[in-house]
Formats: sequence, C-alpha cells, structure tokens
Amino acid sequence: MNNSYLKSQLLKLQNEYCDILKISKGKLTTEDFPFVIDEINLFWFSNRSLIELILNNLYNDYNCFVHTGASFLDVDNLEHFPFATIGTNHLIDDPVANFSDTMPHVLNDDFRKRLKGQIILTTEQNIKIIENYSEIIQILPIRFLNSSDRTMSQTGAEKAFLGLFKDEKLTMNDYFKKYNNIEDVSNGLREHIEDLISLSEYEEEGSLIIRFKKFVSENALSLPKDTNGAVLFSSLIIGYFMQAFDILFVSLKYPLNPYLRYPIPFHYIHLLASSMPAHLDDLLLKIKIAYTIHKIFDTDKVKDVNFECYYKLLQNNNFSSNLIKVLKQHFDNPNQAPIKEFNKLIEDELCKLYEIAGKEILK
Amino acid sequence: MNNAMGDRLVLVSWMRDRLPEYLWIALIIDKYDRTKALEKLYLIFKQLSEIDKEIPLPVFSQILQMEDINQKMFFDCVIEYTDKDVLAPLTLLYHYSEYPIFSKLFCNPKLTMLYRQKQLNEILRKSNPHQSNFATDIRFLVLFFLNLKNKLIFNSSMKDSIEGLSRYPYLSHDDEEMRSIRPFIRSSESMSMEMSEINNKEFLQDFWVKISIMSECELYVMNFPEEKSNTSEYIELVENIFKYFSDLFVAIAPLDKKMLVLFGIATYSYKRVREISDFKMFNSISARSTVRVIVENFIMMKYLILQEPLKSHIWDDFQEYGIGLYKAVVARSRDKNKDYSNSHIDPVYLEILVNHHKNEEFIDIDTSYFDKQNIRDKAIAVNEKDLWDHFYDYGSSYEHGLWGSIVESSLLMCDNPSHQGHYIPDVYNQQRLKNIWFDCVMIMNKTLMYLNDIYEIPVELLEKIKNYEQQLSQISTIEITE
Repeated sequence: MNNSYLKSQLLKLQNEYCDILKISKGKLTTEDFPFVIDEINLFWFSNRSLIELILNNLYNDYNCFVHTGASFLDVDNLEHFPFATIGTNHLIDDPVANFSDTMPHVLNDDFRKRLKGQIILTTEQNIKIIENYSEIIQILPIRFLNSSDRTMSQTGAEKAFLGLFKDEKLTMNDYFKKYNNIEDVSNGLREHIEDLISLSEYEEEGSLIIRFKKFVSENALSLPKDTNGAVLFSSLIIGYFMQAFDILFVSLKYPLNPYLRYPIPFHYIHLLASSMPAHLDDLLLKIKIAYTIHKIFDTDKVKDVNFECYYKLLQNNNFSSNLIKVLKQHFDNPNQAPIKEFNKLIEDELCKLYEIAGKEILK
Repeated sequence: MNNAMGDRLVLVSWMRDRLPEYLWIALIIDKYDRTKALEKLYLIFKQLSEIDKEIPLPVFSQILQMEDINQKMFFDCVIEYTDKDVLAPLTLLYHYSEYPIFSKLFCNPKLTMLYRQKQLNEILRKSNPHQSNFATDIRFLVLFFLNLKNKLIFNSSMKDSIEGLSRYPYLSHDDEEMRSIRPFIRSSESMSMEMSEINNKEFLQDFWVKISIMSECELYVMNFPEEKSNTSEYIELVENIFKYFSDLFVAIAPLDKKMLVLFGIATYSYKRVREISDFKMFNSISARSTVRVIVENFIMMKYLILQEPLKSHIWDDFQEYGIGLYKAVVARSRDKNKDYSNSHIDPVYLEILVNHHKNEEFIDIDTSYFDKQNIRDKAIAVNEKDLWDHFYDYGSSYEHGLWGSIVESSLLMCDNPSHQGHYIPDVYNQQRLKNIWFDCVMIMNKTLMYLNDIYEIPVELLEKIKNYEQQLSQISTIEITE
C-alpha cells in the first residue's frame, strides 16, 4: 500500500467502526439487538463508496489476504500470527455484517440464538483487533457489500449442487418433488460423489446417510429440524457452494486472496476449482498456502513475540513472496503437489521463521 | 446590492437550510391523500405544541432534543395517526446510538438500506423546489404551527390573506385562488426560522454529510449536437479568398507592411477556423479560444487602420510588439539554460524568427497591452463593443481556465438532490459543448468583409461566403424550431 491518503481514510473508518461497536456491545444482549445491528449495517452502507474505492485501489499488488468464510479471527489464541504470515496486506471480511445479513432469513429460533451469540463474540474480537492491530489488520464488510450479486452465486451454487446427481436434466423443482429424505438423495447421487461431500469440520468417516443424520441431530440448523431431509441437505450443500462462489467472486472482483481457516469453504472452493480457468492457478495456490499455514502454524513458537515486530520481520525478509518462490521452484505444479510434501516444505520455511523470530526476542 | 447590506445580508435556502428540518412532515404528506395528510398533521402539531410548549417550530432538530419522555409521547402520537414505516427512511440518518427513542419506534430492519435511502432521495427531490405545490403544503403547515402557538400576527388589512390561509387545506392546487394564496404562504414562511432564532447549524451539517455519502451520483450530461453542415465547403471558399490575397500581396506590393500585417492577422484567424473544421472541434474547449482570438484579431485590424493616420509606423510597431514578446521568451530561456529539446517551445527556432529582420538588440520588449490600450478600449474605439461584450469575456474565461468555463466544460452536474447539485469531474469526456461554427463563420466573414472594404475581394468569392453564412443561419433556425 503506498497511497497514504487512502490508507488514512481506511484507518479513520476503523476507528469510527470501533466506536460504534463499543457503544453497541452492551446493547446486543438486550431487546434492542435489531436496532443495534441496523446501526452497524448502516455504518457500512453509508461508507460503501469509500470501501469500494479502497478495495479497488490499495491492493493492486495481489498480495492482500482477506480472512473470510469464518466467524472471527481469534486473536486471544494468536490466530493473527499465521494470518499475517502470508501476504503484505491483511483484511478481515467483517463477520458481524455477514451474520446480520443472514439473520432475517433464519427460521429456526435455536439457530438464530446461536447466530446472535456469534455476533456478540465477534463484536468483542473486532474491538480487540481494531484497538490493538489496526495498522496491520483492517476489518471491512466485503461480502456484505456485494450481497446484491448473490443471484449469480445462487445460480452457480444450484447448478453445482444439481451436478452431483446422476440425472443430468434434474432441476431444483424436480429435486424437491422426487426426493423426500437423505436416503432418496443418496440413491440419486453420482457414483463416488458421497466421498466428496463434506458436511462439517469434525465429521467422522462413514456413509453420507449416517453422517447426515448425525449432523442434523448435533447441530443447530437454519431451518426447523422437522424439515424433510432432502430439503435440509440441499439447503446445507447449496449454502456451502454459495459461500464458495461468494468468496471466489469477491477474490476476482477485487485483487484479494482468501485466507480460509475452515476446511469446509476450502473444500468446496476446491470442488469448484476443477472447472476453473488456468489463469486462476495463482489464486488457488495462494488459497492453498494460506490454509496450510493456518493448519500447521505453531503459535507456541511466537507466543512471546510482539506482533508488530513479527510483522516487520515478515516484511523485511519478504517471507511471503520467498515462500511462493520456493514452492514454485520445488514443484512443477504446486497446486497438484502431494499434500505431505507441500506441507513439509511450508513447515520447513516456517521453522526458519520461528528461529529468526526467536532471535528477535533475545535482542 | 450585495455589498450594500454588508454582513446583514444572509442567504437562506429552502433546500439547504429548512427542508432537512421538515422532511418528517414531507414523508407524512407524501404517504396520504393531501387533505387527509394535512388533517393528520394538524392533530400531530396540536399534540406537539401541548407536549412541549417551548418548541418554536415543528423542526426535527428540536423534536429530537426534547426530553425522552416527551419524545416518546410525541412519536407515539405520530404512530397513532400515521404508520410506523412512514418515518422509517429517517432512521438512516437518526440511528439508535444517538437517537434511541426515535430509532426504536421507527426502525424496521426488514426495510433494506437501499429502499430507505431511495425513499429519502425521492422525498427530497419532491420537496426540493421551494415553489412547488408540495413544498408549499409543508410551508403552510409551518405557518399553521406558528398559529397554534399564537406567534402568527396579521395586520387587520390582510383580511383576504388570512381567509385564504384558512381555505388553503380545502382548495385544490388547481383552484385559481391558490395562485395568490401560495405566494403569501411562501413569503410568510421564509423568515420563520430566522425569526424563531433556531440554532441548527450542526444538525443541518450532520444531515447533509450523512445523506450525501449514502447515495450515488445521478449525472447530467450536456450533449449539444455536432455540426451538420459541410464545413469543408466553407473552408474551401475562404481558402480561395486567401489565395487571392496572397497572390495580390506578392504581385502588387510584396514589401507592403500594411498588407502584410492585415493579411497576416486574417490568415491567423483563417488557420484557427480551419483547425476547427479539419479536426472537427466544433464542440470542444479549444474552439472557444479560437472564437475569442478571431474576435480580438478583427478588433485589432480595425484599430490599426484607425490609428494609421496618426501613427505612420503603426504597422512596424505592431510587428515589433509581437516579436518583442518572443524576444522575452528567448532571453528567459537563455537565462535558465535548460534542455528544451522535448518542449514545443524551441528557443533556437524562436531566436531565428526574432532576429529575422532586425538584430534583437534593437528590439524593445513591451509586456503591456499593445499601444497601451486593452482590447475593450480598442473595441470601443472601433465601434465593436457589442462584439466584445458578447464574446470576449466568455472566451477569456476559457483562455484563463476560470471557474465558469471549468463548470461548463469539465464538470458534470449531479441531479441527486442529496448532493446539492454538486459537480464531479468529466473523466470520460462526456460533456459536449455548444457548437461554435456559426459564430466562427460570422466573425470570419466580418473579417473578410472588412478586408474587402480595403482591398476588394472578387464579387463571386464574396457572394459565396455570404450565401454560406445565410444557409447556415437557416439551418440553425430550423433546428431551434424543431
């Protein structure tokens, strides 16, 4: 980022947002919750032209990573360290805005309560991030401000969903008419597709029917639990595909790279990746590197390191660009590289980084 | 007049300074049938004046400053007589953390931000023209409120106006009587805020800052038509005349300074007009510079002729004046000793021109007006003040990049009422200015007719340029009629 005027506007926006969050924090647990959320959304809505200007002009070196597809960046557990490790600029796609956008569509009271809880937690984390790290990590409502483009991601997601089935001419109307439960769905899927369908981060192996039933019984859903299985399944998987499309659209609209900490969005983006044009290889590689770093980063090695010093270290040593160079030198096609070798190479580079960081503490 | 009143003259705008306070009233009037809306507002105003006896006008800034309990009572009353969603658009501006009472009662998160913002913009647009029927209804209600507070006092001679006011809510705006009632309402209301001494600068500033960043510009582009006539035809006609002049000069008096200067000035005008035609610059910024300079050239030619009997060296003086200015450029570039190889100003070439007839040591530099008279005085001297009046200052604005020309040529007006008619840069060159071709032809022809008085151009050539101008004026008349 070398546009200091625009950067100062971005930091001003962060401070204003922080002020609103601080005022809102105490009221989120009260009956004024909808009005508080409305005010937060209004803040972003009012500043959407400025945000668009920032996104289009500050990150044209394609080295900005945006933390997305997740609830929040858990700074209490030092998650900001692996996040800052890749790339030169760092944004968080504001989960508060995304959650509040989802709320009106949620019919299940339990799910709504959980969502409310997430909003409260995320608000606290957002305040912490802005107060302590706003020079390095900024929060913007990227997908929220692009939500009017959802028609495209909805259409894409439905097509991707229907592509899982044997019947190539299946439409959504046909699906709802033909399938009533998860057993029907399982019978209708193409061969080997069951293995590609991931329902949650911690699911065990097993048939789709068993995994699905376990998922429904253990998780709060956006629809009432007595909704038929086929509808629940389509809502879940289309939702995952939509999230993947949203993330990809935003990454292509602005020069941003998604930093995904959860396996679900990572998985579904890769399911879509097979049909993507080759010039997105770089984007997919960066997504893969970011996800890997998040998985294998050892926060214990940096728990005594000052975050600003760590960030300076990364920039001075060009860690991010060097890592990508090393991967490209080692693998003909890093996107197709065997997972173990890929992870090992990144781990080796991280170990060197921990060492340098360790020496910095001793200084 | 502006200076006579000094600091006491304060310009107050309906749109900027009062409407933001009355937008809540506008939203209610817009929602219902006119008479019903006025009746509802009567009842609301009556309640307001009872709830807060101190409030001088039904201005939103004061309503939002009322004690919480009074605000609640008032807004409950508004809901009783109207609908919760009527004032929902205002929750975009008056939100929960600053105005919790208002926000909790009127905020409807199910109404999207875009919907609420559109509603606000539409009501602003509708209420904006201060003399519209809709705005007059709002202004009438302000007077009604003043009347409720017994703050409206009329002279006994104003009986008709008072009766008009009482009939106003029940008359249709199409009624003939309204033509006299409405102006009375507007003139009476216009001083109400000043008289009530309401200090709402911060409220207004806040309103405009918030509402302006919320919406997109609606750009308005001026796109005047391009020239349709055959301009090459005219250029060819003029070219023939200048060929004649050139042949005349060479054949008869190649060393005649008067002929050289007059034909030189005219040729410069011709070349400027020719550039307009060749490069189709009829609607361009540069074209305005051409019009200005050919007017100036015409005036200068007449001036030189006027001065000739008094100053026999006038033709030398004119040439030396211009060359002297070039000498100044050459001298300055020598002093600076820079590399000008990439610049369009080539001091080496200019030096040759400067020293062509006389060594530069013998050439004076005079940076004042030629002959110590500005172009306006010259225009008066040669009876061309009308020409100067119409064309010169306008062209000067373009020549010097003054704000009027910048607004006309390089900025697009925004039609979004939230943006107060601001301008934004015409980045994609959409604005097309009015065509200057007719004026170019008219002034060029004046120049040639003047030279004809001195050197007699062949009639057939002269007739052709006159006919061209006539045809051009007929085309323009047809376009205006259409």
